[in-house]
Amino acid sequence: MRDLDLKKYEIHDVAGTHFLINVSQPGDVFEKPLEINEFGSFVLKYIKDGKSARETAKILSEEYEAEYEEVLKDVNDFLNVLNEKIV
Amino acid sequence: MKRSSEELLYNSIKWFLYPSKRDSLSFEEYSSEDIEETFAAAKGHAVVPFIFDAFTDSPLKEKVNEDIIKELKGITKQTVLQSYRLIFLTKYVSNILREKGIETVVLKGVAAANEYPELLYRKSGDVDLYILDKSKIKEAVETMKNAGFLFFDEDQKENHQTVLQSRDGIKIELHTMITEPFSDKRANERIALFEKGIKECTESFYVFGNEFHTLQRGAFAFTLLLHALQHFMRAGFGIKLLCDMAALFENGLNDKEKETYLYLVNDCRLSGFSKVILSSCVYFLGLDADKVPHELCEIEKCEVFLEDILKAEEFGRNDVNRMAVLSGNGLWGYFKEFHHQMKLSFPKASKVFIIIPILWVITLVRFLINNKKVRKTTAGEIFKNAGERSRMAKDLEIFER
Repeated sequence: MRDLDLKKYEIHDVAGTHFLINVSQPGDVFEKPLEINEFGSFVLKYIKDGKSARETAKILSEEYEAEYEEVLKDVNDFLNVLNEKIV
Repeated sequence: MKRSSEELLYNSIKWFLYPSKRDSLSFEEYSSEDIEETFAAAKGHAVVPFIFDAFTDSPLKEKVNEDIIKELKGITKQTVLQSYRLIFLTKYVSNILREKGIETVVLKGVAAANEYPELLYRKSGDVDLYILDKSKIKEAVETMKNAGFLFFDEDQKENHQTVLQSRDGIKIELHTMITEPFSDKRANERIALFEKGIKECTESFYVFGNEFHTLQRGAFAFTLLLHALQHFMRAGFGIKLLCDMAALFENGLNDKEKETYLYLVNDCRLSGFSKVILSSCVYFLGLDADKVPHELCEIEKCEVFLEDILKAEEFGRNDVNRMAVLSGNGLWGYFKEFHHQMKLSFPKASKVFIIIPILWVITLVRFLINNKKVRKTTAGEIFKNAGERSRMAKDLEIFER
């Protein structure tokens, strides 16, 4: 898996939806925003803040009182899907 | 539209426009019928996203049925996606033109949207750019064609805009005039003078870290007023243009910007129109009266004006009989408007005096055919409506003598 370059992306919470949008796109070809769920938006906020997948999973597992391994799997699955979509 | 539904529409818009003033709004007294009527009106005026927050995140939400919520969410999401598209398309077009030394400023669109608490909620269908150096319009069109845009149309009305289209069907209007000419020669001359000095009053703003250029706020407010007047003189305009003014003035103009706005408005003898517009924003959309740079007019006048706006819906499309507001009285007023329409349709040919009668005949035939086939109404109904709206404009003292 290539490292996700999220510097160009912002998460916008608009109209009850979380959009992940490339705000540096030149605009000739429109890169549509991706709709992500609440879990995904939390994950990305931590990843954008420089946390690793493991650190993110640890924070979220404590916050949601869930098993760390399970959350880590969800975090990695989410990042893999995202990687496919935005790379 | 019932009075209570109108109030609900205004209150829902206020909920969106001024988050800090939400405590003063009450939604208790409204019925489900009011909610349905308000939602229908918001659709007609293309302001559905403006009522989204009130319908989903205020005490009103308990009364809104699921069907409305579903449709509301769908329309708002579509508007948000379209806004993203237009923001980056505006950025792209401005940049490819700037690379060729062609400077532009954004009219309306993302510049107007940027004044709202949520800029993605303002519905727009195209990109409007004003070319600061008119002599570069052909070069601008060529640049865009080379970048893959398709030539769509050159507006025959004094050639004030050239329309191109992106590959995904979005229109880009390149303007060489701030507004289409009015029938008032003096106003046109003053606007032309304003356009000559426009290069000196541009400024930047940023959206998601991307730089855009528009006019300084006083001048920008004036262009929004002209845009509203242009639509008012034709079929009318809906509540969205009023919201644009309310959002801009609520954010505030500094003393210099207020001075510029007042100078331009007075110079074009549009203070009557400005008073009706901004007073309506104060009385009905909750704009802070202290932020209006001139005195307010009577609320009764604004009620009449608002009635015209509510009937019009977005750009007057709700009323097929609407065509124009006359700037003169009686038959002379009709003739003047007819002559003005002819000049707009044939800007070059109408300068040849001898063929003017032929152009009148062509304009008349087009008018009659359009009424029958496109508007599906009669000339009589249109004349009647134009007369009524002109009387209203006179009563409201919209145009100064």
